[in-house]
Amino acid sequence: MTLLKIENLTKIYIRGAETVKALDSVSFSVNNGEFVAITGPSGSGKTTLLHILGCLDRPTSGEVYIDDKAVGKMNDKELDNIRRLKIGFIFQQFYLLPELNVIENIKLPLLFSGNPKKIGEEYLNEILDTLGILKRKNHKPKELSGGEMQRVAIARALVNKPEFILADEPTANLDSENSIKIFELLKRLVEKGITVIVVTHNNELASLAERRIKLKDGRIIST
Amino acid sequence: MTFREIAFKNLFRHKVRNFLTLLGIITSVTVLYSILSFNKSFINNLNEELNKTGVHFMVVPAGCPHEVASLVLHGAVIPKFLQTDIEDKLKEKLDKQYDVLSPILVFQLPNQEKQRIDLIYGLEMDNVKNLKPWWKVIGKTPQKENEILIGFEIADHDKIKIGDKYKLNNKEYEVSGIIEKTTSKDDAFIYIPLKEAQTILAQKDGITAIGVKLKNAEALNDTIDRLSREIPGIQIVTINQILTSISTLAAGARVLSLSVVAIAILISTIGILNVILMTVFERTQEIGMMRAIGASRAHIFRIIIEESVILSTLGGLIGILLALLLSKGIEKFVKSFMPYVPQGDLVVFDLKLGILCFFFTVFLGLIAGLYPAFRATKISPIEAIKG
Repeated sequence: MTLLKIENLTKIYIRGAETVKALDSVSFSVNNGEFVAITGPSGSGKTTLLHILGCLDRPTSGEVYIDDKAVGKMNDKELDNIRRLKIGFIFQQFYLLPELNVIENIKLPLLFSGNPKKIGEEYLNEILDTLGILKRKNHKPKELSGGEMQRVAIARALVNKPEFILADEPTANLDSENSIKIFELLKRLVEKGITVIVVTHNNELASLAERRIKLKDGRIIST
Repeated sequence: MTFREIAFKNLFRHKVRNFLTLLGIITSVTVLYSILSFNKSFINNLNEELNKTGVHFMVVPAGCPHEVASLVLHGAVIPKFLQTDIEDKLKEKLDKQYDVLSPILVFQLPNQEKQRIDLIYGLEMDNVKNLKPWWKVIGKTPQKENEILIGFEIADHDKIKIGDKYKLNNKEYEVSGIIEKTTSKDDAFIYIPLKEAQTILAQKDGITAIGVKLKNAEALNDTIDRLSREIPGIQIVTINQILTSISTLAAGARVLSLSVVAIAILISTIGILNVILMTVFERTQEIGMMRAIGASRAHIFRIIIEESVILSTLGGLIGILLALLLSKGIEKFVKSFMPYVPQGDLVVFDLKLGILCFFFTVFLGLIAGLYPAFRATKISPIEAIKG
C-alpha cells in the first residue's frame, strides 16, 4: 500500500540574483514497510527532499501525498500534527537536550503530542531494550558515546509509533562499526513494519537498504 | 515531564549567568519590598505616635510648622517663647471647654557629667494623667519640685532606680518614677515640674507650647479658627497638620528611594530579557529540532516564557524573604537618609504587600520573556537544523 506519493516535486531557492533549482520534477512513491535510501553527492537535493517529505518545507511546485492526503493543502497546525504523529525524525547531530536524561529526551515528542496513543513505560522500555540502551536510561547525553546518542535519537523518533522514519545522514558522526549497527537497527524497524527513508552519501551503507533513489543536480537518476 | 520541568532544567545550563540574573532580581525585589513596607509603616507609625501626644492641637509661637513637628516629636529647641499671658487668654477664650490645657517647656540641656545632651520636658505634673493616659509609671509622678520622672530609655541606659539622684544643671533631683517602655520618643525624655524647668532655663513663665485637648473634638476646627483670630502672635497646629508637615519632609527621601528601586527593577527586567534572548539564540538548533519532532509555535513560546517566569518567581520569593530576614539592617540603613523616622518597626511582614511585590515581579518576568519567546517561535526548523 502506498504511504508516500511524490509528484513532480520542484524546489527553487532564490539567493539574491541567483536562482538554485534544488529539486527538479522529482516523482516517486514509497510503500508501507519499505527501507529506502536516498543517495547522491553533496548539493544533489537529497536533504531538501527529506525536509519536504518531513513537512518542514514546502515545494515550489508539485505535491506530496501522505496516506493519499495532499500536504500542500494543509495549514501549519495540520503539518505540526503530521510531524507529531506520523513522522519520526533522526538527525545527523542527534540534537539531544543536554539537561534531560535519556528517558526524558525520548519522551519529549509525547509532551508535544499529548500522548494520544497512550504510550506507557512498558513500550518505552521495549524501545530502549531493542536499541540496547535500557541500562543507560537515566544517563545524561554527555555520559553517552556517539553511537549511544544516535540510538537515543532513534528511540525518540520511534516513541510516538510513527508511520515512517526520516533519517538525515544518521551515521555521519559515527565510526564505521557504529554506522553499520545503526543501519542494522533501522533494518529491524522495517522488519517490524515501519517505513524508513534514510538520506546518506555512504554507498556501502545505502546498499543495506531495499531500495535506492539516486539524485544528481535535483533530479532522480535511478530508482 | 512537563514544559515547566524542561524550562527549569534549561536554567541549569548556564548556572553562573542565570544565578547572577537571579541575584539582580532578588536585590531589586528586596529593595522594593523594603521601601514599600517602610513607607507604609512610616505613615502608620507616625499616626500612632502623634495620637499618643494626648492633645488635639498645640499652641506655639508663630513660626515654622516644621519646628512644631520637631517640638512634638523630638523635643527640639524652639528659639521662641510664648507670651506669658497666652495661657490665661486661652483659658478665658475656651471657657472651660477643654479637658487638658497644659503649658510645656521643652529644651535640651547639656549634661557635663555624662557627656551628652539631656532632653528636658517641663510640664505641670497634675496634667500627666491627662496628657499621657497610657503611661505606666513605676513609682509615682513627681509631687515635689525636686522630683523628676525618667523615660525608659534613659533609666535603662543609666541603670537608674526609684529614689536615685539625677543631676540637672548642677542641682540634684530625686527620681520619683520611671515610665515603662512606650516605644515612642517619650522614652528619651526627663520630665520635670514646669517651674523647675523655667528656673533651669532662667525663663520665668517661659513656655514653648501649650497642648490643648477639647471636651468636644467636633468643635476643633471652629475653635482653632476663633482662637487664631482672637489671639495674635500664636500659631495653632493640629496633629493632622503635623502629620502632613512631617510626611512632606519625608516625601523627598521616599521619592528618591523609589526612583532608585524603579531603576533597579528596570535593569533587572532588561537582565532577564537579555539572558533569555541569549538562551534562545544559543538554542536555535534545539528549537528547530523540537519544531521538527512536533512542537508547535505555542509549545516553543511556552517553554521560553516559563524560563523567564521561573527566574522572576524565584527572584520574587527569595527577594521578599531576604527583605524580611534583613529587615533590621535595611531599616537602619534607610533611616540614616530620612530627616525624621517614627518609632517602631518599619520593614515588617505584610502579606498584602508581599503578594503585591511577588505578582509584580512575576508580571515583569512575563513581560521580559515575551520578546525572546516570540523570537523563538519565528525560528525556522529547516534553517536551524541546517545550522
